[in-house]
Amino acid sequence: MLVSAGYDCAAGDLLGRFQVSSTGFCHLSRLVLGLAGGAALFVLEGGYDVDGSSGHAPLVAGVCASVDGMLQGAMGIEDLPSGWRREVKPQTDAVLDEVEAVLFLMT
Amino acid sequence: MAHASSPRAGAIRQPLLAYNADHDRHDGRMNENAGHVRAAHDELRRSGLWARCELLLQAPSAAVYAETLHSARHLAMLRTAFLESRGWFCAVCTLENAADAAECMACCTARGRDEGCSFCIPEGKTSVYLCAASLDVALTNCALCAEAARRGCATRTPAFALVRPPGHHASSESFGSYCLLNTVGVTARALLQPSPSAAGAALAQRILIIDWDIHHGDGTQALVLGDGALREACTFVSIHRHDEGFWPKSGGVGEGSGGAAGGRVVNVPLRVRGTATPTTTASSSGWWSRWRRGCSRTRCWCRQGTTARRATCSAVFR
Repeated sequence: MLVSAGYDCAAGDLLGRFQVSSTGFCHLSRLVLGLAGGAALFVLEGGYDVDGSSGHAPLVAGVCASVDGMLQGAMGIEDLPSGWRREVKPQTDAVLDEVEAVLFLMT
Repeated sequence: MAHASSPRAGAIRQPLLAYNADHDRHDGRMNENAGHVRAAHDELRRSGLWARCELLLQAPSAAVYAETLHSARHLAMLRTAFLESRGWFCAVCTLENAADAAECMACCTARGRDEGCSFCIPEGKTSVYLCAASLDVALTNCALCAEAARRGCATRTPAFALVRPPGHHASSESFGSYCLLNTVGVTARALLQPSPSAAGAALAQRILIIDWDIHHGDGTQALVLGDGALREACTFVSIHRHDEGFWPKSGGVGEGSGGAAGGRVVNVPLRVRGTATPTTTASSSGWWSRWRRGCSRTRCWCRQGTTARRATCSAVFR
């Protein structure tokens, strides 16, 4: 598995305005390891200090959380803490279809 | 720990950190520069995570990797542009040291790029500036990632490549935004080449590429749909922000669907609350929807298998 790991989706990034937390990145990298049986390479992509005020903080936190997750080891979706489902709200049926496709391809 | 009881949880080998020790040469006046890598590196060291990983700091023969994926024309163009520049220059129109956005826009227009630097000017920035050494750094990054992936495949070792500039907007024939070479694409190609260490076989038969950058990985998508070797072996999943006007505007559902012929692309576009849905979204549904409509719901789910995870997730998302 190859991961284009951009951190402009991290909480606090002014450009992306997504809210992926450090815990989220930690879980993501552990899920990837579980899926790939360890054979995964994360490659840093985007993540910018848009107005020069954040001091790269969202990117730095995200990278560290991902590496921390790799050190903690693999996990599966069933290992996610309960309650994560409430946070996931796909916006359209079309998106839902794509999510199903991802799950299909992964299993 | 709850995780310990899971059969999937388990000890993974000590992760590999690939780090381009030469990255300081990659500099720019804008947001893309070595500062991001430097900041992450400093914090990894401070927190002690760095010391717990194995390090990969050097990789052999940088240039050959990029040549497996990118066209000779593209590489020659980049080399010419970068070698001739004496300082910073606009990676879009290759103008050096533009005074302001207007000058850069005029340069882009004169070179037949009517849109100019369409992605940077609306944000009030002058241009996409990279420096002459950025290409060298990008070439080394490709080699580092290929080496890290090769080790990862052979020994099931996970790796993190702390590298910039990014790569997912670059395709075989063009660069996009700050991306000069598609690092992930080059790495995938390297894994699919016959390898002496695997008795002449490729190190990987199938590759799943996941892109969680906020921007759609349009370059990687073009590669997975267009490059012969990648089309055969790769599935590309991009999860990205997709609302009206958000660059690069591509990545709608169903875009680049070509499942039957290989080259699977799955886009998961998400919208930030309070923003408009893009008017340019591809209207046709993807190969997945078409394929699923072709069979009954029941049959479909039977074919997909009934693992607990699938059922759980399906219920969750419904």
